[in-house]
Amino acid sequence: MMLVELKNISMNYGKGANTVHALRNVHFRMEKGDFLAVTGKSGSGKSTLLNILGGICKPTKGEYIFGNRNMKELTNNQFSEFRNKKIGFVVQHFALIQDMTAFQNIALPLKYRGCHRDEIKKTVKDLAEKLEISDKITDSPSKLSGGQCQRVAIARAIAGKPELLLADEPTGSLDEETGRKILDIFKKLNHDGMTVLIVTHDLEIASACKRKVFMKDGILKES
Amino acid sequence: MKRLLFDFSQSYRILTRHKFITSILMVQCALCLLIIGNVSGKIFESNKRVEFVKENITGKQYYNFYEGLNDSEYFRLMSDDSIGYQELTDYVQRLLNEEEFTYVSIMSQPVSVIKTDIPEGCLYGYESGDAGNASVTLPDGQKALSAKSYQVSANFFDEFKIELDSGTLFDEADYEYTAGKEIPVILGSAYRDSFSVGDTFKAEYMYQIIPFKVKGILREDTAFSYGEEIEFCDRYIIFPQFDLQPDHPTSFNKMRLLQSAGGFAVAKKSYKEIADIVNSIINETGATGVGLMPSEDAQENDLGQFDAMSGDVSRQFSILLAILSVFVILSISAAVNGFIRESHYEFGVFLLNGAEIWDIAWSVAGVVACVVLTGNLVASLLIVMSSHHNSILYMQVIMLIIVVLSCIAPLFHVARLNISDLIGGKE
Repeated sequence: MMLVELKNISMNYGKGANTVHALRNVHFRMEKGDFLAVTGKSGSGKSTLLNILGGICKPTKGEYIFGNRNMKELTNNQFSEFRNKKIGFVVQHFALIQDMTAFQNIALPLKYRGCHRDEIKKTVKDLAEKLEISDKITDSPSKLSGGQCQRVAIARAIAGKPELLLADEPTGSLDEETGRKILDIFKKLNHDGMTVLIVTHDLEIASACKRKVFMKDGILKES
Repeated sequence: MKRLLFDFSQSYRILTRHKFITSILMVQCALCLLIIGNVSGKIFESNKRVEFVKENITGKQYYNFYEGLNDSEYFRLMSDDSIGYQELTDYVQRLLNEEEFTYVSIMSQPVSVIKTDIPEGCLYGYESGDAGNASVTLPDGQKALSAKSYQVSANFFDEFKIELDSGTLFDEADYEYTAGKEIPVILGSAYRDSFSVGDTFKAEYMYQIIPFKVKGILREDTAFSYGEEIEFCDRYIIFPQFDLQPDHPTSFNKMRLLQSAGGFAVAKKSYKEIADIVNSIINETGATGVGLMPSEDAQENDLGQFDAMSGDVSRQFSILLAILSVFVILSISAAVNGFIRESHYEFGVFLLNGAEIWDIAWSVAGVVACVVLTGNLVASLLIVMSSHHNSILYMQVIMLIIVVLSCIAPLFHVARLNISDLIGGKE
């Protein structure tokens, strides 16, 4: 069942002679339950692809279909709701708020969804158990290890039960062993039915994914 | 609502993260609002006085009358023969009855009040710094304080649209003097805390101890003018210029008669026309030592100048107010923009997790509002303590303007937040 479809997507930055073509006529589909790795060198357009898929920016040209909805029709507030309900983000440097506890960080999307306090408490507790960080829930990110921080970030990303989990170099700041454990979490999430897209340089991670695409100079190729 | 509260909790986090800067901003805001409050109060007062002049005085011509008997004329009048008393009485009566102009008799003379706690500003000589000499000992040994007073004819109140805060104006019977009877008085607003309507007191007036009874208290800022300058009545005791007593030439009545010869005429005629009428009255009655003030430009009052001066003061205050407001707005905008820059990453995380730009905007507006409201609270308390209550209302209006304008630049900044660099960065 199709979840994401990009039709002839192009993305340009700058004007005139300084125009950067970050994406060129990208065609791309993801089915529900896909586990996809996007690889490619720096500057190849991976992050731009992630930004478009995550509803952070709109493409210069082309159509982005999510589920049955054409994303072109969405207003800024609808994009916010889309990010809140349909997408989970995990980034290399965790993107945690340092003066919030792990609990508060995980609860963030639920707060913006207007969930009841008891529901937030239960969801965060369940996720903390699932990701083995129950004992760290009241700590601030500065007291957590890199692996623990990334677990908190993953917990936050999946707290709102998104349909698509986007991960940008999720193991990039972690040692090999911790990285492997984090990869196992993604595998498990995908096994449980979540659609996952990982942008990575790491070939080991890419090979662990069910499907791989390669990007070069803004052009996407299936491998 | 829940979401809005969450947004404001983010404002609190931003504030606590920048305790020092926000404290400085709050103090600065409090000081500026304190000055703004006082300045706006002054502008209001100034405008009120200009309005008063425009509504009640501008356009009218005022001509002053003098009483200037020389020594021999004075002694002859005060002698048992009362030489000139009848002529002078006829003269004043003719002025009061004249149809070509309205003659208002007004005389300022101190009365020695036998009460020691009247407000300092009401003492005779206060404006010239001589209030210390206002304490007098009466011939019977009683201590009294010389207080400023006006004795006015009945048309004074109509002419200047004088209104009371409490009590009633003088009625016809109040202008009839009977020895020993209580004289009704209307007190300026400065007496509010010392006397109430119905209170009585004794005072020496023209060498007699006379009982006075408070009949009314004037509204604050009650004023009048008959050409030269604005006279505020707040610190004055006002009592009636009694009817003339042509058949009873007592010393008291003679002195009152002399007072009645001083005053002014309100007319739409030229100085020359008025002077001709007055000279004719003098010739017909045979009165001496009295008349219209001789100045050719007596009819040119300075109220236009006062109007312009008040307007100028008001403009200067307005400029000061604008400068202070802009200073506060710029300081807050600059500091809050700094906070936004510093929180760029954090706001990005919020947006990634479903926050709308409005959530960020509310958080930022919450910071601005908290700084300004705290400053406002402190400034308001200080103003309440200094009893300038009116200024608080103006300050709230300015405060709201400051909050709104201080939010513009930060919200513009928020609207342009770009979080695409949170994931990778531009290719």
